[in-house]
Amino acid sequence: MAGSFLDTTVVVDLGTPSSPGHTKAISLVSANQPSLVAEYAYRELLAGPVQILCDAHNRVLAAPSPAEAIASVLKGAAFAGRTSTAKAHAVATALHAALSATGTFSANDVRRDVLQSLMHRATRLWHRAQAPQGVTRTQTLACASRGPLAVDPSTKALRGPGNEFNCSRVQRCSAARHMAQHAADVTKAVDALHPSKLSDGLKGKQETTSRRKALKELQQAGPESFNKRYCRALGDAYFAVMCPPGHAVATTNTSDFDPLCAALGKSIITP
Amino acid sequence: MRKPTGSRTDSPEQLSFSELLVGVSETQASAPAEDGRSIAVTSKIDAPRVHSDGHAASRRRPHGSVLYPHLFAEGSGSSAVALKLLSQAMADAESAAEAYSSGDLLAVSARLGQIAAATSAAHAKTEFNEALGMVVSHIRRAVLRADAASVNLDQLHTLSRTLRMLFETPTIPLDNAGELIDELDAVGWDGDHSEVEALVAALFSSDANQSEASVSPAPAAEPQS
Repeated sequence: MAGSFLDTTVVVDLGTPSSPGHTKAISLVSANQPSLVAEYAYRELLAGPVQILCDAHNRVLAAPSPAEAIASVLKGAAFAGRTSTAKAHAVATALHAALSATGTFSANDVRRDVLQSLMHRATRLWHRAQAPQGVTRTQTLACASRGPLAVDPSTKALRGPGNEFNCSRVQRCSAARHMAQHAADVTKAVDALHPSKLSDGLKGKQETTSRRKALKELQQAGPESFNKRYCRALGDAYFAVMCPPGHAVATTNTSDFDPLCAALGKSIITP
Repeated sequence: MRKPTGSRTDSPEQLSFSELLVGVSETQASAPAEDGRSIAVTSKIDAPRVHSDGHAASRRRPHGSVLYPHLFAEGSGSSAVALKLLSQAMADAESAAEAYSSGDLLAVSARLGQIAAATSAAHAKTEFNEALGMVVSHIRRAVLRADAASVNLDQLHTLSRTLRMLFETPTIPLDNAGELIDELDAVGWDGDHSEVEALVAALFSSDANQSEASVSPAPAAEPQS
């Protein structure tokens, strides 16, 4: 049985006991040992799902009324680059219900209760995802943020480790350095993501276009001059290229990995 | 009621926040209750923890009222009220465990109701530390949802210990507060905020692909080093 190399979707499921995929993710890890998780997955987790929760918290905190809280959250990190009406409706409905809860609490305490529950979700996702049983961390990133989330004592806003959800601003991109060690695979990944080789579903997808652009930036600039703004766009390509021999990429998102792993001769497993 | 999610490890290297605190209170402090009773804060479980390899926990710290007199002092505002209510809730949790041991489920139910009332009132006074308020509110919801007939002794002991931790460390940091909630969850207390759970599910949802949405790159650029 091959070992597993977990992408961020599986790390999120491992860190969310209430998610439908939690039990399956645990089974995948135990059935596919040794199981590795690259620090890049935590970098994506912090800049993605954890930041989305903290951003929602901070927007509700700053809003003077429930209506303005809803309006603000709909402009937040969860909607970056997306314009889903159905999602906006679902978020607005859920937030309205949460802020309108009746009972013995005053309106201010109802709001605090919502803020505290968001705080709880964010801090536990970040904390739990970092120590799943049977998983070994690998491919250290010098630039990645580590440490717990914290409440700003003066504003009560929820902050990332060291007040940062992204990587260090003063260090070079470690993910680019790791990938540059596998230059031939990076070239294969660039070729695999050429629009002429993609299925119709992936051809016009913004993430696929950004990913290829980021890989070309790495090829052309090299790791020491790689523009850090492209780091997150490497995304799935990082996991496909960096998946070690004897391991399969473990993900819940096979469609984006298919062309990459096929070109690199790597296997994919799903929970 | 939520099913227990697993057992904790007992290796000295993996002690949780509350396990580290158990056995490190050396002050035999008493907390004033609203009706004038005096509640002993420490008990046998405060004895220094002896680890499996035989060494006793050497980290000792004074009681919260010594470390944080500004929060405990009468007249110091809402924090003193919150802590007084927490000490009441702690006493009620102890009484609930005692009632459970003697098979008096009616008394267990009554004590749980009192804990819900005390934590509800305490929550409004916890603005000095939102992480403390987070645990207090979680307890309130969990206790309100609980069915006294299906509560067990582990749950009551965990509840009692958690309330003591909060009382002794009102400045608890966020990460440690989350750990306390995990311990409550692990023995079956379900204090999740259902409306917020629905909100989180909606925030992570996507018309096309939920997992992709949760990790997709944001367009915001990071500064170049």
